[in-house]
Amino acid sequence: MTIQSSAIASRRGRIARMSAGALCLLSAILLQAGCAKEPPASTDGTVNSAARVEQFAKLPDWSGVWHLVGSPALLEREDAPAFVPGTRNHPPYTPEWEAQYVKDLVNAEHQGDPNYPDQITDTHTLYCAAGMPHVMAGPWEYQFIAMPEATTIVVDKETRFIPTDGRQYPPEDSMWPILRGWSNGHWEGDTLVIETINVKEGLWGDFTPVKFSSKAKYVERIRSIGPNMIENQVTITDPVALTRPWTWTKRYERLAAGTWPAEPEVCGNPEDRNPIVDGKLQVVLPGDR
Amino acid sequence: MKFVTKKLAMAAAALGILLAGAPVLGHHSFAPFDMSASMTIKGVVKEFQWNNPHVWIQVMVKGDSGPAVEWSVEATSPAGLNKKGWKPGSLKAGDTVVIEAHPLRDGRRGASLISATLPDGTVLKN
Repeated sequence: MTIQSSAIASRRGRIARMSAGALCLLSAILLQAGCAKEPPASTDGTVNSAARVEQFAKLPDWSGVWHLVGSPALLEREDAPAFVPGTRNHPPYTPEWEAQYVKDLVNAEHQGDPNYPDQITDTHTLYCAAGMPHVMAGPWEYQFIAMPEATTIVVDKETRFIPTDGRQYPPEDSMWPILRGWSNGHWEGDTLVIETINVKEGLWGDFTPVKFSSKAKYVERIRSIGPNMIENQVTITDPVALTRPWTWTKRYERLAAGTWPAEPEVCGNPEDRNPIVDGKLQVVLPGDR
Repeated sequence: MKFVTKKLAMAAAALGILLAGAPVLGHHSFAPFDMSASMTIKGVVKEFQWNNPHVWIQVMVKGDSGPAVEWSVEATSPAGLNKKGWKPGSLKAGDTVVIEAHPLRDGRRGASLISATLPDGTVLKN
């Protein structure tokens, strides 16, 4: 390259950078004015736009590893114990769902009991995943990875994807009930508001056989209530199972800086000595192999 | 069996507190085990299986007569145990160990770990 062609190339580069900068500034102005529909994401895959960096700066600092505070049961009282005889959750069930719940309370306590024919098996045992809403109330570690376009919540080996870029749910014929459901979110100030629908029916946790229908809608309001404490207020409406919305709250505490996330549990691998056979948990001893 | 001491009637409420307060639990329910009873298993480690999703301790226990019999003791995940101070090398084959555990309901020689006393006297919990 000659000195002259190098100078021309240099000028072209400056013009290109200035144009890009002007476009970026224009995009930022449009976004600030609420005119642009595009998310404030970088489009070249290599450099964060100024608008995106600005959006990042507004997000709460939820870095690090967190753990659940209080009971893993879905109870209105955060410190309530689970499966203590005489205590139970009180979701506002319809009579039909209440009757089933009362049966499940007994059957759940006998899960894994080979001598009890009506035992039932909880979701985490069956799927090695808790699903919604139980995944947000488990004795596991949590990571809340907040980005301008989406937040990803990692819970042990489960992940939840929550877009916050204003997108719509997929078409109805492209959604089906799944363990984590289909979540869509937005920010209200410092609060991440998540709506989740299409959760597989009948999921329940180790700690309570509370179940919901696939028509349930879960609205979570997640926010910082201190430098190292996150609160998640969960309201469940279920036109099939509940007579009114049911709300409970969980908190997560940030572990010490530098904490390594625990190795996730993996089930169903050759070393797993608790296979599920005919929907029931087995305990394999050496003589059984 | 001499090596098994069944302590009856641990308060059911205590079980609830145990479950509710447990920071780490396995991927499955512990209902196959009688969590209201506990037993002591004293023997020699045959194998320490530091595997996901659950750690197992295989222990050979001598009875009053006849050959030693093998007990299987299930613990929580490696990550869960590690948080309680366990390491992959906490036990090895040949170590003498004393284990407190909840027995299987079905009477087979299996149990769910409560705590273990290592050869150096260290007590580690599940």
